[in-house]
Amino acid sequence: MATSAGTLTRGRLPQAERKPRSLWSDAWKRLTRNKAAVLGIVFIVLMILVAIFADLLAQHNPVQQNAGISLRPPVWVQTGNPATSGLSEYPLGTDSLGRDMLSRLIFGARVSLIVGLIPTTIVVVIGVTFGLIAGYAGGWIDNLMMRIVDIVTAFPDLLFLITVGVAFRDTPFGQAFNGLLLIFVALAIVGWTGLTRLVRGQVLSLKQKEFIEAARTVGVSRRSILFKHLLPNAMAPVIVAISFAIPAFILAEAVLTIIGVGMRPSVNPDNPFPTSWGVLMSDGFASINSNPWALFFPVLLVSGTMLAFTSLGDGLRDALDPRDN
Amino acid sequence: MTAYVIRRILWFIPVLTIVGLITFTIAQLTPGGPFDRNPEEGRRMNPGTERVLRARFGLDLPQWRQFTRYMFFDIEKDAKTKEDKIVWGAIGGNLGPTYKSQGRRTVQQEIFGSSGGNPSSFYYSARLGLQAFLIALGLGIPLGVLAALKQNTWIDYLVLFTATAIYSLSSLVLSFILLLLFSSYLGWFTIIPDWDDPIRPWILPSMALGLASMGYVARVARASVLEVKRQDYVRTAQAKGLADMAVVWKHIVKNAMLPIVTISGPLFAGLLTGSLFVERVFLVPGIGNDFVTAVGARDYSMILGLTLLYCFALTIASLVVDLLYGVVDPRISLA
Repeated sequence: MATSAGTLTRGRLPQAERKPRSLWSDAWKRLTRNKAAVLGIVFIVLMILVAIFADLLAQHNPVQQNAGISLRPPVWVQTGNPATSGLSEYPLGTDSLGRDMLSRLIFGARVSLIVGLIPTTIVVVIGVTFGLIAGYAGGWIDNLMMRIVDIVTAFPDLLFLITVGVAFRDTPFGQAFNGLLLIFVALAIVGWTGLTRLVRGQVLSLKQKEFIEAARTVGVSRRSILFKHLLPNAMAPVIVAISFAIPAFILAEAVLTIIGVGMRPSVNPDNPFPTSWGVLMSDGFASINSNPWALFFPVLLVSGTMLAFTSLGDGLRDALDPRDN
Repeated sequence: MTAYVIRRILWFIPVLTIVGLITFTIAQLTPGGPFDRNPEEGRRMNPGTERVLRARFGLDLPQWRQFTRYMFFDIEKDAKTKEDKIVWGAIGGNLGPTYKSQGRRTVQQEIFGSSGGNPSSFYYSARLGLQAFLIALGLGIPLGVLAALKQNTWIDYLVLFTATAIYSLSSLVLSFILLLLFSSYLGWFTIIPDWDDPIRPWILPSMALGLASMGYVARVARASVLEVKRQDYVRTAQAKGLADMAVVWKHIVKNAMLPIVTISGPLFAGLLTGSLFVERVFLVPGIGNDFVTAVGARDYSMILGLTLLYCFALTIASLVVDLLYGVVDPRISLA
């Protein structure tokens, strides 16, 4: 036995010479080998760039109204009648107020991505903290916290969002940022319980492992155990959950807007966040008879975004949990 | 078992009370009341009339009493006999009068009662939800099983891709896609539905609601069958020469059903609240439609009543799912 250990340390076996690899670099390699996931990442990065450089990309101001050229189809639709044909000036057509569809889609990406990101950030902070504490503390603290989670889960999400949306719509809080602040807060309030359950489950199984016991034995502080030992090891499923939470929030904003309690339309030409894909779908739905294209384009972009996040999420799940394959 | 069911049902009471309390508080914080505008003319209501109406609905009582009166019971003087009598609230199935009708109809009548020969809102929502549920399970399970049995063939990839795509689009985007494709482009269905037709107007909303869940069911069914397929008892069954069909149905599918039962609870919940949006897009006069109208009109009792009703349905659904576990997998014991 002693000799074989000696040969290993002298490095004659090729495996022994390999550089240490972390879980994350392994996962990244597996992720980039997954074609669908890479496609998803490319699409998402593209949308993020569009959102950031919306001012440069958009040809027209997204809230500028043009009387007389409303509800035009895209440029390739030529009906023969100049009053109903597409215009090269407005490549994807115009909406019912004559606003440029393409510019609105570009600016809509900005709000929709933010709607995906901000509530997700809030939800991750609350959900992970709650889950860590409940799972690690155990006993009555765990019990109390999980009962709170039960009640929030029992509340029908959409009904809560609508009720809150209507209740605070006309208050200064509800009007802040065209109603977006209210949407962020409301989405965060209903959205955190899933992550709490997930993290708590992870912690419950992790805290029985030897490395935690070892850390406790050598006197590592509770805060250190929670954030340096438990959290990083519970992170993989959280990351997967995040990649599914973002599109869910984007959709939730759209649902609320279409039901009539979401984002308010903006008429201020200097507003950097004038519209969202939800608003565009809602407007497009209202004018579906006269110009279905106004619904088609936002639906197309939202579909692309949903598919991109799903393939990224599925890819992440496979990459971070190789046991599944 | 019985003790378990009773304990679960008793747990409903605090959950529903707290959900009711939260909704009640939000409704109270809302600026504007149900009677500050005249519903027909849209202008401010006569203050005297408003006072009378508020008194009739108990809105002049202290807030805690408005709440207990609505949720549990209140003691009122009977108009004829002049004696105190108990009037039950939500706990006794009385969801209160709607403000919209100025007290002539109760919330439960508004939801479950038919008006003027038209079916009730409940009928529309329940039928829509049920059809969607059937589409989700009826298509999802066979597709998932098929994909798993043909693992790594083109059938598997096709099913998996379609299921994932449809599921990630969700019923929202799917509603619009179906509407654009079948109503707007192909013109097979009218955008404004004709509810006298027994089948036609139901097709698109049921598909929009059901297909997204179908994608999810198919994915879960596939994963579950793949798991079971590797078990020793399946190999044993094949080794002893059982017919392929018998192995699939008796050993694989039956044992792979547990995760389906698990997800059918949240699935049912999703169909209930998801229908709120689908109803809006396909102009279905169901409960979701009632809810959106009620919120706009600050109809507190209708908002509270519908929220409680949804919440009750969700908790019942999760209880039924937990009970079904025991039926599907006798190894799981409750209590």
